[in-house]
Amino acid sequence: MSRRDEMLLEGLEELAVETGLGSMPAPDWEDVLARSRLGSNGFDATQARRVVLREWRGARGPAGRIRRSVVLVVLIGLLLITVFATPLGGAIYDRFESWLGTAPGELAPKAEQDAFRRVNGLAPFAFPPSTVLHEVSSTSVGGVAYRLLGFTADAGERFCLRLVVEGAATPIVFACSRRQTLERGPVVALEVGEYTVDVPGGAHRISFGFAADGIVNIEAELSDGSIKRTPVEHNTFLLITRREERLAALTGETARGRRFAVRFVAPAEVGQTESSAGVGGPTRTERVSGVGRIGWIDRRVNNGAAYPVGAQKPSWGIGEATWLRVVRPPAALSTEPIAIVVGTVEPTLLGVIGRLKGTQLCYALVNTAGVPGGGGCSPLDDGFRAGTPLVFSSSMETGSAQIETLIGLVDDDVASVRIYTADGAMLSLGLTHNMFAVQLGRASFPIRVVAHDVQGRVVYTKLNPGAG
Amino acid sequence: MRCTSFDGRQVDRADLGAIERVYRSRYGQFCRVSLMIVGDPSSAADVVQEAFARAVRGRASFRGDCPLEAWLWRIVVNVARETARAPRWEQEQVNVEVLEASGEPDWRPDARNEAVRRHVARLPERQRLVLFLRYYADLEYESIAEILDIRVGTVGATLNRAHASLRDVLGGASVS
Repeated sequence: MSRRDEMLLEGLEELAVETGLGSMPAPDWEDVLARSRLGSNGFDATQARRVVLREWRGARGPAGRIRRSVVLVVLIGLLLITVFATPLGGAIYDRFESWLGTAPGELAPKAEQDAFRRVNGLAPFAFPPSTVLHEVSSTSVGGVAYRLLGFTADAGERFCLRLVVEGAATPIVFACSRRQTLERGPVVALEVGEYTVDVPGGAHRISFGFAADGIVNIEAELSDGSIKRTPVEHNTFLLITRREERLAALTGETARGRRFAVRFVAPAEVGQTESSAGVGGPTRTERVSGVGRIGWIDRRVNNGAAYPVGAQKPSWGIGEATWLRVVRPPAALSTEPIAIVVGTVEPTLLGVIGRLKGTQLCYALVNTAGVPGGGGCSPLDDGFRAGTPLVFSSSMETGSAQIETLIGLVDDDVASVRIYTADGAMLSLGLTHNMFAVQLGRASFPIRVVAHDVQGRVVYTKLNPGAG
Repeated sequence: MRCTSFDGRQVDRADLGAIERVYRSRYGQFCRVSLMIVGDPSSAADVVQEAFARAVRGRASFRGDCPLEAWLWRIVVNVARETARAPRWEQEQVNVEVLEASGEPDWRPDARNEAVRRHVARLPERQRLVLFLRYYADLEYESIAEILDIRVGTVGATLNRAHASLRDVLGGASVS
């Protein structure tokens, strides 16, 4: 070791200090094992069964008989919980073993890797340069080759698919989903027939997505009543139909014939699912909010992070950004890592023509492709009018037409934000520097967005049909 | 990428016993590196637990083409980076803030250490990671290259740049 190394080591050793971490013995390995078994709902059925069985074995004598009876009831209860509460389907068909760590399949050709890097390199919120694409699925229809390239991101927590179409002059599409989202259902469709390519002999409509271990086929029922099947390869499916063949239903099939309906929103349904039936949550406010300000933005406090140096600044089409910050709201449930850029914009001639006066408060979502989307602008001094302490916008920024991204701002009067979905769920969203974000399957819409003040009173409630 | 073994032994299967052995023998080093990435002792310990839980869950994906330890280090580093939840430019700022705010007894108030700490925190993420893996985890260049998925030469060059940045703080006049 050189003198320089010794000095560095010495300096860094002194930095390591008495956190106790360095010398602490490793905590119980059982904790690691227990964590590894926890499902997304946090219920560890295996561990619970083990505890109950221990009780069962330990029960002796007359008192023990009573205990054994109680334990028997608990065991039956646990069995029922396993079967119904944690859906049995979920317990069996929620694994994506081949995707753990890295995407499965053969390495994609160098040309594809290079093409991805070129596109990825242009984005300020890009995937890591070390991202490697694997060929997970392919098919050929009418002489046109379609290939799905897969990769993982966020330490294997996000699974992404990039569609490459050969022999057709078409852009390439990609979509991602979090592992957590995938584990909710055995089949998750990321694209359902909305993406079409013009090919010789007529256009093709493309659907693709993920299927859990054990799902071997995807069956598509088409609008003309015919059935089309496509095999699952490396936990993915790729279905090509003719443009005129719309999907009426999608079903995942196991080798033993068990079938799972796949929820999706077909293009034809857009705008037709705005009934509020089934959407929970309060429909009336309990107090009129009158704060109307976000203090840190008024004072231009540098919360969050700076906008990446060299990256093109968003202008929102109205003027020049004078101050920008990037905030990352906490990931919750199916939320992808999301960056929201917020800042002040001074309208230029274009903005003035649009009758904008004074400094504007603007916000937008910036996804991993570096494309600002959603969001909007309003006068800084009048952005949150009385009774409207929350603004939000929705867009489809993951690349998947089946997933919608909501981002929003709340004024300083709001302490929490909740979302009630059409499928009966209630999500509590974390706030970071007055911002929130969530991604939802479009089949969950319409939704109700609700804001509460610090005392839990409803200060905002609004039904949202989705981007449609 | 062709992988070399950390200790000459090649493990071709990530069985639970092998993962547990690495966990027990390297726990302190995992925690120290994790601490320097996330900047908070309790989060650092949590990162290590979570990383190993993921390793246990995903052990089927380990195909033995890299040393098991490199695979585990990669997961720990990735979970720590994910926990810090920020791209490079944000990460630097967050860490500086976390470290600068630490008037806690965990950080010795020695002036030189303070300077080292500030400088280290302001290094680009890759330089910091290479430094931590080199000096806190005591890993060779080859191993660091495997964990960070970069070339061995890049490890050396990155370390040199980090050294150069820290030279003044460490009394670099006498450093060859």
